[in-house]
Amino acid sequence: MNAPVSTATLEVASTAQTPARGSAAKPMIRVSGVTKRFGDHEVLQGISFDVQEGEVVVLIGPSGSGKSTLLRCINFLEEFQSGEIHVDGEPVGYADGIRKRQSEADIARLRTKAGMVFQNYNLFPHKTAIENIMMGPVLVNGENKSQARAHALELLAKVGLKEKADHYPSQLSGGQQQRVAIARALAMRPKVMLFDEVTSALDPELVEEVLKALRDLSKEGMTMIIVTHEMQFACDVADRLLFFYEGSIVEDGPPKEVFANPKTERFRAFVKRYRSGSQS
Amino acid sequence: MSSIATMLNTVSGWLPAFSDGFLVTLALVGMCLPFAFVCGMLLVMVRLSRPMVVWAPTYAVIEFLRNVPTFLLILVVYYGAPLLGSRLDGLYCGALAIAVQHTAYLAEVFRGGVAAVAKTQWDAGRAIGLKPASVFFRVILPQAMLKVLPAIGNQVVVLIKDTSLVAGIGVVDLTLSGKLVMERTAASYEVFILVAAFYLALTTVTSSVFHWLELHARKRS
Amino acid sequence: MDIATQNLGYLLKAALVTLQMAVATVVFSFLVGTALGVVAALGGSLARRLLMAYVFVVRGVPVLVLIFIAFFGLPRLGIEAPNYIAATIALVIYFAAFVTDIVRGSILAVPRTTVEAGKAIGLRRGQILLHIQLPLGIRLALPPLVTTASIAVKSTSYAAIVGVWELTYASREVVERTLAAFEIFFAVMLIYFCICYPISLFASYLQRRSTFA
Repeated sequence: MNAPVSTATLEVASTAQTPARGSAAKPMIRVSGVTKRFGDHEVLQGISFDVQEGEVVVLIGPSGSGKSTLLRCINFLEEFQSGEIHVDGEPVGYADGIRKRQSEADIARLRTKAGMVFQNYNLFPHKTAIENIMMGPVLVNGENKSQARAHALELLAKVGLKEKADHYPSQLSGGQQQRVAIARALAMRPKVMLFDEVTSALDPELVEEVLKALRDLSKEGMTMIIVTHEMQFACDVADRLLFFYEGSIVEDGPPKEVFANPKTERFRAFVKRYRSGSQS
Repeated sequence: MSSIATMLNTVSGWLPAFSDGFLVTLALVGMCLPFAFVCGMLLVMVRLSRPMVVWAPTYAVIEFLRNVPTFLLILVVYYGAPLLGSRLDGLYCGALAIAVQHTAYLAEVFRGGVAAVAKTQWDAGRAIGLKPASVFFRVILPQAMLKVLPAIGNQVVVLIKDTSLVAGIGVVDLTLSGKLVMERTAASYEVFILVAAFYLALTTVTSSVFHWLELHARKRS
Repeated sequence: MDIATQNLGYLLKAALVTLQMAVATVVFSFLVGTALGVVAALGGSLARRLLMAYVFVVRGVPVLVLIFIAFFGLPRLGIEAPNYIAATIALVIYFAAFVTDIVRGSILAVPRTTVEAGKAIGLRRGQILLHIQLPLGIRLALPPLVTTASIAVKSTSYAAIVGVWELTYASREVVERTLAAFEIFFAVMLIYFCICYPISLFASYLQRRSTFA
């Protein structure tokens, strides 16, 4: 019934890091029973999964399946109607066990634990690249400017843009802006990085520079949740693949396993559509 | 309760005087608006002409008219007309001044609309063999008007409000009739609250008409 | 033009009064309007509805009627103010409404995604307002605000109708005395033009620049 999906065109890397299975380590992220509705439409239907420290989890699935929404729930840019989310042991959005909304101060503080990079970069247009990166540390952590600037320069060097420090976003290409956005998120020293389709808005030739930055980050042991359409990249870098379909997770496992033993017809259909798309 | 009754009584006593003033205001709008619209259209075509000897002085005149106070223009016509030998009534002095200034305002609004139409539309028009004049009237202008419909609506509201300035030269429009009622009766500034309400009604109806036009136009395009 | 130059001193003194009124109007209406605009954009629904009602009413009424209300109303409220104060108060109330609407629109025009980026790095609401929404909103608001300032300068001339001695009133005085309507009024229009035209050029310049930033 569920024949293994041919992995001929999609090469599953064997160099992906394997998480510490079965360890008693508390998960970096715990999502339990999260439901979200937009009006009548239930966009997330009781989502539950854990992410261990250092794990790279990639969310894939058709548009509208809820993957971006789930990502935005993790740093509480979206509210959710039921369930709980814990980041680094602390509950997000609502106090532990009860449905009481956290204070604005707490929500803001918890957001610093998860760095987010958006599809459309969302850099502050009136600040230079380095000022964009410095804003969080200076305004939220109260760091002094020279300290923050030094750290920001390090991060810019890390994403390969040190010489663009004093450029404005309008003077940078899409790929460069996205790398600045990554540096900006890293400036807050988050425990986990959230990537929401970060290459979807880029011209094809600019995609690789951003994916490289993501690969480098994963090699350093950053906990990452990535929503993407780049299937080859997903298989390369993911420790685990979560396939979303209409608000539920229908496949969950290392890329090799998921492709070898897909549990659902939907996933096979999804990959088939993708493979035929990439072949044409 | 009786105070409300007395209030309604007094207000209804004012209404005849107001209705005359209101008619004067409407007459002003009725005279100035079509004039400004038609002449503004003609003026913008001159403004958009190629030769500099044509558009440069036009630009100067438009900018001059747009950057002087309306009341001052009214005074120019009011005091200047007798010097030129005409015995123009205050009402027509005001009408002329307002009409001329709003011609300039509307010409600029139209120009903005034409500028906002993509240059490629010109190419498209020429490509199907239309002459430049036809391209302008059949392709560019309709699109320009659609784009600036909200701005035109805004200008009409401004024109309605500008008519109140004829009160400064003694023309009994809605605003001045308010002052007269105030002087005749024991009432005070409250009269002008009613005057304001009349204007508000007029401008609201105008805005609504233009909103409807915008919706209707958007549906068609 | 002799008549114009003879009376130039008188007219320039009056022009100074006009400038003072214009500056007072612009400064106060912009301060009040900006504050109200921020509240209208980010405040609670009650504040927003009240402010939108204020904007709607004031913008639908001629500024002259507001000047009359202030002129005749203030004494009734027990405030004995000279006529130029009443006129300025009316002008401030009138133009603050325009500024409120412009500032409100500009703050709301700052993309939600940019605000979200601020939230994502842990900024509080107040910090987002101060460091993201206001700087970006003001940039958007500047061209229409400058245009409003130019209109405000021209509107000071309507104070002449309630007897405020400023440039338009003074020019009328001179014309009635000398009957040299065209020379005097042309000179006066030139004075207004020299104040307002640069302002409108500045507004166009800002408009062009804002499409790049």
